[in-house]
Amino acid sequence: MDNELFENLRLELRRGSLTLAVLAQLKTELYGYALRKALESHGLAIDENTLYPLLRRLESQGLLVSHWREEEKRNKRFYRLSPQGEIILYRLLNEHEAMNAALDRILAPIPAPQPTENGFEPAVLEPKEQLQ
Amino acid sequence: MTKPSTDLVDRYLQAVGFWLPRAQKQDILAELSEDLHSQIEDREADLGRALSESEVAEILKQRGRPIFVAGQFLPQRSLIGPTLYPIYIFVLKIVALCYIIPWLVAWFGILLFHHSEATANLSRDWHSLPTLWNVVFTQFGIITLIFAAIDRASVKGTCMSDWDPRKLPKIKIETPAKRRVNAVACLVFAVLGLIWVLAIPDNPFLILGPAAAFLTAAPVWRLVYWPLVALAIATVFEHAFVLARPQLTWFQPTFRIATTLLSSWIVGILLRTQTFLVPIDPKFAQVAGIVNVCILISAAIWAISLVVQLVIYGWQAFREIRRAMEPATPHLA
Repeated sequence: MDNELFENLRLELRRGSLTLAVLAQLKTELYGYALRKALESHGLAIDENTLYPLLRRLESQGLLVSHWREEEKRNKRFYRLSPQGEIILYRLLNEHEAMNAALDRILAPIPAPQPTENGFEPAVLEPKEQLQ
Repeated sequence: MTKPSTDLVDRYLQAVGFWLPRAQKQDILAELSEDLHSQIEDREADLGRALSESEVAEILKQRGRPIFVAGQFLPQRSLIGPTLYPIYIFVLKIVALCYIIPWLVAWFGILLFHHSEATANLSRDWHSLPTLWNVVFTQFGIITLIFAAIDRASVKGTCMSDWDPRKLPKIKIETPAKRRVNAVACLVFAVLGLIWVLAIPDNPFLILGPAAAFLTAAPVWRLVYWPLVALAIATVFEHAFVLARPQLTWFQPTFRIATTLLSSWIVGILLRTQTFLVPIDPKFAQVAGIVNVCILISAAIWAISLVVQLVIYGWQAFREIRRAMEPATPHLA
């Protein structure tokens, strides 16, 4: 139950970040598989069943443009950020930065969970710290 | 000769393509094919050999079932979106409460009392449940289709933005004083009801009006009269208790379950009989017959309402008992 809940929340948390990462990565033109590899090399693995529908959605929203081109004897669909996508990415990055800064301020006083015999135990804050 | 990997991939793509919309099918499949072949080539480069059929099958298995993969590309996967869904459920509940539950109750009631001649004709018409299910599924189906159409038509877009917060209903505040006044009024009416029930045997005109001159109570009332008096006393007790201990919110619905069960027993006896009033003079036999049919129909309606009440009180009692057992939480001011 806890795992399922965590997994749902994790997916929710990742959803917005993935869109941002895909848009940012497509400042340079890439095809689907290469994009997946590029994101993975940065530590952001993305399931292909998530990536391709996302690419299509972003393209239909006008944030990406794509075209088919032959490379290494195979037809590949290359994506890159559209002019509108660049503006949106800029705004999203600002939003992301503001949110990160806010989160940093909120999370600052919270110490990391301590490992115990039963796994990780959430750290208990002193009342003073909670009020900060 | 076709490579085993190519053959499996092609079969997989064909299966995915079956679920895709025609307009985008080729485009999506071409991209998926490219991605799969890139992954297979990468893996082959790592191993320094061609992949076996089982290794390719493993890659495809990781991708997921074709129907699931295709489903990710479809625009909307829910018939009714989250915006309209609560309204949809609300409408279904109303239909269930106002139509299906009374129907089911009536059906069970007729099955229970079908040996009574008076209900024999009705029971013939009501005997088959499939009729009920046909009606239920048709109603639910129509409601679902209407909501799906509204959802597709994006009416929710205007519904979401076109509203005025100032038109929201005012908060219902039930002050302790208002609650007390209500409780006192209920108690007064309960006492008057008890007096009325006690006075009926000596003053039949209180229930029969002018018909008391030519109609009189059938023997069945001797059987149910004291239970009716007990019911009236219980009602007085209930309202007196609510007035004295208003904070025990679980009491009233719980107590009403007991009184509703007593009422059900009374109405059960009434439904089994056909004669409630008898004429003093045989020439009023026809009038007595009409009145008896009216009382029988009233008793049947009463039985249906009792079952609905039982469900409501059961739910209220459960909610209030659970609330009473929970630790106190702050309320909105």
